[in-house]
Amino acid sequence: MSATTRNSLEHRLLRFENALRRVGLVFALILIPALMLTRLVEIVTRSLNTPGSLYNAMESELFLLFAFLTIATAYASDHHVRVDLFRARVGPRLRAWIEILGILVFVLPFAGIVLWYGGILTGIVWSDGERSALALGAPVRFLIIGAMPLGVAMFVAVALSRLARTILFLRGRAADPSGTVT
Amino acid sequence: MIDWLIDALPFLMLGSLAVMLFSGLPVAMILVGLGVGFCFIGITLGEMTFAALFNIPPKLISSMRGSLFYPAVAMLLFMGVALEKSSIARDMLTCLRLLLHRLPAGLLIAVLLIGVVLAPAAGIVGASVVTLSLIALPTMLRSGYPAPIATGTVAAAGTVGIILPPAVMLFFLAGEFQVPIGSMFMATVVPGGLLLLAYMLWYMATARTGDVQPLERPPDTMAWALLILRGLVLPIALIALVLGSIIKGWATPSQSGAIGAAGGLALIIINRRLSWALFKDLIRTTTNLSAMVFFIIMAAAIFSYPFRYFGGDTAIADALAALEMTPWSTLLLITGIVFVLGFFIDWIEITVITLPLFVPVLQALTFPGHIDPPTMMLWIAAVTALVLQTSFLTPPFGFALFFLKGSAPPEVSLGQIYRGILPIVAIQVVMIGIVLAEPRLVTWLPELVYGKILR
Repeated sequence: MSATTRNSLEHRLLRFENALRRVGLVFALILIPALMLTRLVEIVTRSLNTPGSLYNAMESELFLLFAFLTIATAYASDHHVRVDLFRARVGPRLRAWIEILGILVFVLPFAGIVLWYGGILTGIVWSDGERSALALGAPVRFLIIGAMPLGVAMFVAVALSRLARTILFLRGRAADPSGTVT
Repeated sequence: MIDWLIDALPFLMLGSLAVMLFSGLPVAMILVGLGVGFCFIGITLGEMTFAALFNIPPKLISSMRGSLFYPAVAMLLFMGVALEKSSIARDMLTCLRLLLHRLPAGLLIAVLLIGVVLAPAAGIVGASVVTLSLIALPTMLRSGYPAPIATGTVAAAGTVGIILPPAVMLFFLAGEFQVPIGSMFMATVVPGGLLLLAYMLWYMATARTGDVQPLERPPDTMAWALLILRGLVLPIALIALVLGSIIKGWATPSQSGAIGAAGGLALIIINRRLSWALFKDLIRTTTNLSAMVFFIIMAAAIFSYPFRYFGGDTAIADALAALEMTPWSTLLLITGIVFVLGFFIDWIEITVITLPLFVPVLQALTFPGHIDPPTMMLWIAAVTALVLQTSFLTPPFGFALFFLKGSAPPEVSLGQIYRGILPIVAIQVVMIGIVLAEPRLVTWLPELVYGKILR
């Protein structure tokens, strides 16, 4: 870590990843209480014969936002589960190469497809002005469909930043990214 | 040549998955990568069209809309994290020690009971093992229990909860085996309760040391009452409320999850421990845990898209049918595979990736005179839960043992942990045998609660 100075490339990449991690957390800070409150309000008001399906729709949309917008957060804090039976035993340079190949071969094609087709899908929903089946539940359906490419874009941004840090590490200009997780 | 290759595609997918898992990349990353990669292979071989790629984003969305339980899972994770982070576990330990300290192995029994209350909602990646290990292991060691016995108790207590309701794992098992969630919850209560009883009797018989650590007694009756209320009555009431509302059907699983989450938060407020820092910590931990779970579920949907396209579901069933095994050997083979997989991968991947391959095969089994078709899947689901729990405990690879080593004081060796867990594993194996031989242990309680009808 000694090479890390305030304005080094590594430091800026780490700040970028941390910023994206926090964006997901801000969404979660709103969405988790919202999910909880939606159901609690439903339980309280059910005695007033409010149709329950409205709450189902709302919960389903809120949950979709939560699921997509937090993928990047868990990756930035390295919480996506790995089978580290061998990972712990291989050297840091081999581990770095595996991470680089994984991001290039596994993440980028997937992200490309989701961003491209998911973007088109969002565009279609936007231009149709399509509304959720229950208008009150989600009047702006494109925002919810759009959360998918947005969430994956945040994920791939973290992955690219991590790729850059891993390459810097192999060139001796950054700390081992698999060791800097918090 | 090409035809042969196309027939082999599902098996190539599974083979690449098995190999790639050991690369140490995030499991979800491997699943999406292989899913998309094999779509490209399918397109190259003329099996899929390029337009089929357009289905991938909708698959992501439908995988998250697929189950009404998923929002409930996020809420129950929040409740589990709240119970874990709020040091309610510590109050429970104090409370149970005061109540049980005269019993032989009283401290061990206290830890086992805390496992039952705390573990269900937090039963993900060893969270409950770590919590119990941090709060109870030092006290147990200071009380003079040998390290193998102390760690064995923590491992048993931390994993028995993942098969007891309202464990998150049971939601997923119920979904995959297509049994009602209420019945699934009831199905593991008797086997899980017997396991707990067996652990207690074993420790009472072998670990004679009592609780010799001095305990600070509450000064007066009022303090006693408050401690019991905070450390015992309220947490148990919360779990009972969540469970009862699901089982009795007063609330949908989502509503019960929200009640659990709000209740967890309420317990923190009652204990006057709520702070902005703790709340952020709750949100952060819940987010990381649920993002991990749900990204794997999305990724599994991407993986299974080309897999199903290439006829993967039927390929597995056909391959097993070609072995011409009896129903019993088929069941034992599949549970054996699940047991071995449990060494290497978490129950989340096993339930969302592996079990869907086997469920059609299992549904076609018959055990005439042993168990009737409507309840058969419930029995198999309960056996699977027991097998997974055992797998997490079994040396040398059991997940729980590594979490235990990571959170135990440094003087506790992995060898001591292995030695301590052996009697527990023996109890587990006997219990699996008993449940296989006597399905009524599983079906009795659901039938008592719901009558004979099980969907």
